[in-house]
Amino acid sequence: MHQATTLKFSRIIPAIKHTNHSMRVSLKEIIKGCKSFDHKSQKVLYERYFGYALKIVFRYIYHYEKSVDVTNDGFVKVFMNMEVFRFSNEEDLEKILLSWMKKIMINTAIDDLRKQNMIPEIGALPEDIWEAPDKSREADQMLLYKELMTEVKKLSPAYRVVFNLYVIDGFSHQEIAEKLGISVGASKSNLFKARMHLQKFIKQNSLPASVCNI
Amino acid sequence: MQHIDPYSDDFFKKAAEDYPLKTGAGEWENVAKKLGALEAANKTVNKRNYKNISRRFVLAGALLLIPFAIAVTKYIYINTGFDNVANAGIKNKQVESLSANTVKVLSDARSNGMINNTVFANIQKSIFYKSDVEKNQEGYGELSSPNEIEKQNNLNSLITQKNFGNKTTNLFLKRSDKVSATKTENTNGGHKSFTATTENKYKGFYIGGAIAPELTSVKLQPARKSFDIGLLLGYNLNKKLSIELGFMLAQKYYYTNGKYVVPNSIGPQDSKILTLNAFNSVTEMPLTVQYNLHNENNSRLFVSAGAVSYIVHKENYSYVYSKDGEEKLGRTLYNKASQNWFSNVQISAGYERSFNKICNIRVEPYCRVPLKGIGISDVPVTSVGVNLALIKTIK
Repeated sequence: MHQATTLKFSRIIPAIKHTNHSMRVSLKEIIKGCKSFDHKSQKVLYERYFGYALKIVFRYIYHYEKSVDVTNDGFVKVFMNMEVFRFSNEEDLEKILLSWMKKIMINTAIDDLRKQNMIPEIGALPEDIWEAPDKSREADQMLLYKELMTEVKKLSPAYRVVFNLYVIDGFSHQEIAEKLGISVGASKSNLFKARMHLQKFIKQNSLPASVCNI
Repeated sequence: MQHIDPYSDDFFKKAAEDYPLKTGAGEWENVAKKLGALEAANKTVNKRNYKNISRRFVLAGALLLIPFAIAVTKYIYINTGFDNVANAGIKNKQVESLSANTVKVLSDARSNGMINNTVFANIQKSIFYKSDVEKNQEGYGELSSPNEIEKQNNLNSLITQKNFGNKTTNLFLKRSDKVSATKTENTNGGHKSFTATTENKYKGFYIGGAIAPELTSVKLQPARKSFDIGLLLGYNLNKKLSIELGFMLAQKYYYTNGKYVVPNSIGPQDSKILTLNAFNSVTEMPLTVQYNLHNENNSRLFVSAGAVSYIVHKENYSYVYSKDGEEKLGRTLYNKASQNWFSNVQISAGYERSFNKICNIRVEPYCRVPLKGIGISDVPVTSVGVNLALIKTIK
């Protein structure tokens, strides 16, 4: 059952790299350990889901080192609040956990952006933050994703955050407005502008059909 | 192979999940360091909280001691008074019986001609106060017929007996004993008061402190542990009946599936709650009537029934909801207070026993059945717990 769950999730998020040790320990046991503040369990959880969390945070922060720090802060929140994490269905445990962690990471990232007064990151993204492309069929696709994410960086933080929250993370305009302290109209307007910018980019680059296949 | 429209949201989602960011920069040591610092800080805070709670308990205990001290002082005062009144009553009876005998002997002696009226009057004067006796003896010298004398003697005897209690009792009491003297002047009144106090023995207010560990559940789904602490105020109507109001601060944890959550009460609009975990901070106000099955001096066994109202101060919900076919996790915190009057019915049975003559200790298992839901989610919460209370009667 556990292996099936892990494999299923690995298909969804290939970036997650399971170590041999963490594979041996079931997620339920890890969570149980985390609830009792067992550092070994915390470490296993951290190592298992750091990549997943970092990718979420980076989409908001767009500064690699800072994203790592914010992700770490997010994990601290996860561990400190693990007591309130509840689940009823063990089959969906990983899904529920990731959904919960995602919210924490997003909130931590937005808090950090607020501290910086949503000032945009200046300069291009360094090349060393990207994984080296391999020779597989998916290399082109990865390159496209990289370019797309780089393009998202060009959006102002206010547009980018709304775009991320609505399009990628599935929040409603009402929720975004409450979270960011803006009006629903402002949220819709920001999203429209962000979409326009990205669609323009896609049109300009006239994406080949092959990279849009999964 | 599935084609994705590059302009669609799915394409951006896929890109956001799979973009090739390096993810090997995890720094567990940093996280461990921060966690260690936070845990240490939490321990310190917990210790402080523990100290604060201890201080509050001491303060609450001290506050409870004030009515207790007043009650004890009053109790001792009343007890001393009762002793005097009771002693006075016994003495009165002794004196009354003495006076009856004396008057009888005197009357017999006078009617037999052994003493004349003057001697009789002098003897009476030596026993009684002059003023009263003189009033009673007026006209004795003018009586000549034996029948008239006998009638007057009987009358004297009755008058003497009537006044005897008041005057002679004073002879038996110490002058300094004002309480007993006052009581004795109204001997009959004193007895009435004593009887009335006996009848009122069970009447009066009481106050108490209580803690209650409990299990909370929604429609027999898995239960969660909760905890109540607070004050009890009550009034004993008579030996059998009491009425009681509690003010309990409670931390309520409960779990439910989405079936019992009112749609759109929490979570995003048009979403469906699948499971809900709630942590609420509430003030509970159980108003109950107690019926004593057994009520003796040191203990009582009772059953009670009533209604419980809730004032919900904080509501913290974490839930799994489905929207547009996707399951997501949500968390909402409400700080706005909401009232749910008489939302639960409470039934209980309890045993109370005198504890070292200072106060009563009570053990009262209870069950609260919902009539309606509580909080914004409007979930019907059933509670089962045990009230452990210290009760002090205030007379």
